[in-house]
Amino acid sequence: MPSEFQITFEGKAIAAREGQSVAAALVAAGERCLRVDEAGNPKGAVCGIGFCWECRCSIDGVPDIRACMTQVRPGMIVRRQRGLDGCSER
Amino acid sequence: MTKDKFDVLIIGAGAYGLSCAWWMAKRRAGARILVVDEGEFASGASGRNGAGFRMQWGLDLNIRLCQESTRFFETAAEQLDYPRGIELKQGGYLVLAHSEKALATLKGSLEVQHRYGVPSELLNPDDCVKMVPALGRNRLVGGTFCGKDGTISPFLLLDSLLKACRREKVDVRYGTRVEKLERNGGGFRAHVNTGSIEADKILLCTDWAVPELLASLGLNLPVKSLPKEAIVTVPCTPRVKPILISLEHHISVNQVSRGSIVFVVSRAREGKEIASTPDFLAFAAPKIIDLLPGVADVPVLRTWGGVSSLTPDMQPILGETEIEGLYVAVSSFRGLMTSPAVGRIMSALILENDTNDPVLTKLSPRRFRTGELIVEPLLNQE
Amino acid sequence: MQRAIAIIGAGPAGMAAAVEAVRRGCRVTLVDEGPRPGGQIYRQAHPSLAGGEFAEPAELARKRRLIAAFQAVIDRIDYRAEATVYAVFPNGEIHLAQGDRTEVLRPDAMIIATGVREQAIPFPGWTLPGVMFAGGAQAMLKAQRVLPGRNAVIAGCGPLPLVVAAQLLRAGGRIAALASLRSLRTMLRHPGSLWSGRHILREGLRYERTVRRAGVLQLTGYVPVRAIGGEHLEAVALARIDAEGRVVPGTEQRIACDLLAINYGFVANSELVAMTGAEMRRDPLIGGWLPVIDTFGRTSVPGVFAAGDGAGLRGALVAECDGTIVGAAASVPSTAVGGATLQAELAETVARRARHLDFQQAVRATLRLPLGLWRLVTDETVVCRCENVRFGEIREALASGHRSLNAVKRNVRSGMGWCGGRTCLHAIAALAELATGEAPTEMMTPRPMARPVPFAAIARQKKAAAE
Repeated sequence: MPSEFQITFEGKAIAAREGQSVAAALVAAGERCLRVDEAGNPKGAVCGIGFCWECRCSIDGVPDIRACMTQVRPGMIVRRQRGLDGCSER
Repeated sequence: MTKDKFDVLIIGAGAYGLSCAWWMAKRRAGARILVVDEGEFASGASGRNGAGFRMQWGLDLNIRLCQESTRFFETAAEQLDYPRGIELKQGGYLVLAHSEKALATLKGSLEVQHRYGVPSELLNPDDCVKMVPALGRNRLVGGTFCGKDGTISPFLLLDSLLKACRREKVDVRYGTRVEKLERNGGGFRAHVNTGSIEADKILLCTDWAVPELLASLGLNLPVKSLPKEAIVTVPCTPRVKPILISLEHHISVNQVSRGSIVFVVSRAREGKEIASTPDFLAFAAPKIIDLLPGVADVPVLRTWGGVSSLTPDMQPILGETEIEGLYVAVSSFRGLMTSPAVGRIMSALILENDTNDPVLTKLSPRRFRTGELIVEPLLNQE
Repeated sequence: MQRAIAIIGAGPAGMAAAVEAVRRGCRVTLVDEGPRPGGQIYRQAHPSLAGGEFAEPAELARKRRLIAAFQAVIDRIDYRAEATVYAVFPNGEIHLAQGDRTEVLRPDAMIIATGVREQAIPFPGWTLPGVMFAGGAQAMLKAQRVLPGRNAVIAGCGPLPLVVAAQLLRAGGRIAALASLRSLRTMLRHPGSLWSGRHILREGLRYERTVRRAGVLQLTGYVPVRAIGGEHLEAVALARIDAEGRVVPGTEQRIACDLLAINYGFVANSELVAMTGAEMRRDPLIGGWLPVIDTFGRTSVPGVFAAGDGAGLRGALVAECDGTIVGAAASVPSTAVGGATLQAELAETVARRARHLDFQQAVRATLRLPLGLWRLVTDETVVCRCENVRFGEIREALASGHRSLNAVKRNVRSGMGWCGGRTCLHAIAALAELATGEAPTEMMTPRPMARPVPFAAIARQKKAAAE
């Protein structure tokens, strides 16, 4: 894996480094709203270590993946889930 | 030691206990009624089930009990003066057959349902899959659907009944365990962990645990515990609109309004434990995927257990025992959905000695002595 | 026949236990959710992000030494990284998910070393993106080399906020304010304990120097009372509180920031050990619901051991000693535990553990939360974030007589969401104590799943090899 590459978030290119979590790469790029819950509340990474499940995103078509527990990969497609729509491609 | 005296002592504050209490209080203003429960609010089977009610049964008794109860649920908010409502949802029940034998059972039951005006219909496999696209076609031969069947919130039903009972001055006490019963003149004395209670009449609504208390009075009833386990998934997009029952898989499926899907999976088991068992998930997962391939990738969030009751003919037991003034109401795993009607019938029986309802004749505890057992054909234990 | 030990968690306790169990000839399986060993406190960055550490050299040396000892035995154990235990049962079974399948382990003994997670006091606006737990912000820094914010406010109690502030500064971040519930000088009330941990104290003083030299606004006795922003955090209102935890009127200060990193202590990840049926007790100061254990980490369930912070918050140094002791106890036949031989073999480690534990008494003084502090939670504040349950609903349920966490859960759905109550249940327990005068004694009934796992993975279950 190259040490620096790009992932996309909501169609936008985001700089990433091998070994970073998806949450870290997004926060570094200034993207703090990772999800919108069923009540319309914007949510971001909170606990950073995988127990709160607030940072869950659709990653490469699979819904509800914890951004803080998932390492970036070149070309990874991350989408912001809104409500129950997990942006699933399954 | 505290001593209390009541007209009627109801043991068990689940759907049956609270419903019977409320109906009795309404029937006779000023009646001294006490309901006791060893647990907390909604900690028993009434708080652990699939939350469904259906009129799709094969036996007239069950159809009638559920029909009356459905009408009650439709107006419960009003009748119980509970503006919040009990989250009534009438999205229908789809009962599935995966064999010709099961389909024949469904067709026979449909006939009986139609005699009582239940708006149910027969569906072919295509119709079933159109209604629930996530459904698997493997071995599916058809189903029946009734649009008036549905779900409620058991917690809100119990909460509305509890509040209505207290408004009618019914005493409801949790954390109160009855250790044993004894006769006391023309009435009874119940020894509880907090003292003793005297009552003219007693109604046992402890479901599978009824035999334990009957034993202290030298009586017996063939009620066994029926432990069951359930699964709830994470919230996901709507994919199961009606409640599903599969006769072959012994599974019921209910996608609740929050998006989570509840699966109740029955299997032959003994015991009274509500703890989740180690082999349950491995047992249930393949069956669930076979029934609903569309949920294979949905994560399981939680499992839990509950204990219902099993009788030799799998029918409720409602009525007076051999001891005058001692009554039982055993649900046979359909307590929630029959509780309004059972409440009315038992209140008439206990307060007015009204034995006219055919339900009481057919479902009496006496039938086990006379051998007049009855058959409900449409069963998956759900 | 080799004794089979399963260890859950690869933090200091888990690693030390693994090393000891291997040394004693056991067949060890170690299961951990992370990609690399170290747990939280000794979190390792990916090799390509290594270099440029912001922690104190002595702490780094401790970390490297323990990880090296673990790496030396890694080829002799069945080490499962990125594997998650979703259930354990009283019969000793461990159910784990790894990749797209699941597996059941049936070891002779299990050591549950799952550590702690952070505790937060909910307050208005705390769900805005940009409000994080301090340790989580630190994890992003430590392992990801990412500054989680450009202009941070750090708040809370105990040593962690200071450490995070210093490390963020060393990484080039800006701290708008550091608000501590009480000064770390509170530790001076325990001079004996401080002496036991004097080398740690030196590290602490160096962190403090970093913060002081950067001219960071330090507000002692201040807590966040409101997070402000539309779509994300833009500012935080800090206010002073009195000894009872009540906000002092007129002391509110509004500070612009894009990150609020908070920590109000820790809660043990005790869900798995509770699932075995082990007897539990509650001590909010050192992690909330904890297994009842003896000095060898034995719980009330034979064959189930608990080690490290997950059995009671005691810090990394205690956790490492604990891991060795519990690893030894789990490795020998149960009749040998408590025997003279084992006692002699472990004497030095036990003594070292006691010394490190002594220092913790001073640390604990800084973690004590006045009950009144929970009044920061208003009726409109969301307490259960997963299910959007506001405190007002919880208060009504409590007032209706629903006192246990199970009963509250049944009524308002708190604890029934994705995180299984990990973020809210300790708060509900404290709020119940504040509202009713009585804290719930029982935890919410522990039951599968400790983590969500899809049906398909469960259906692809590998059976444990026959013994």
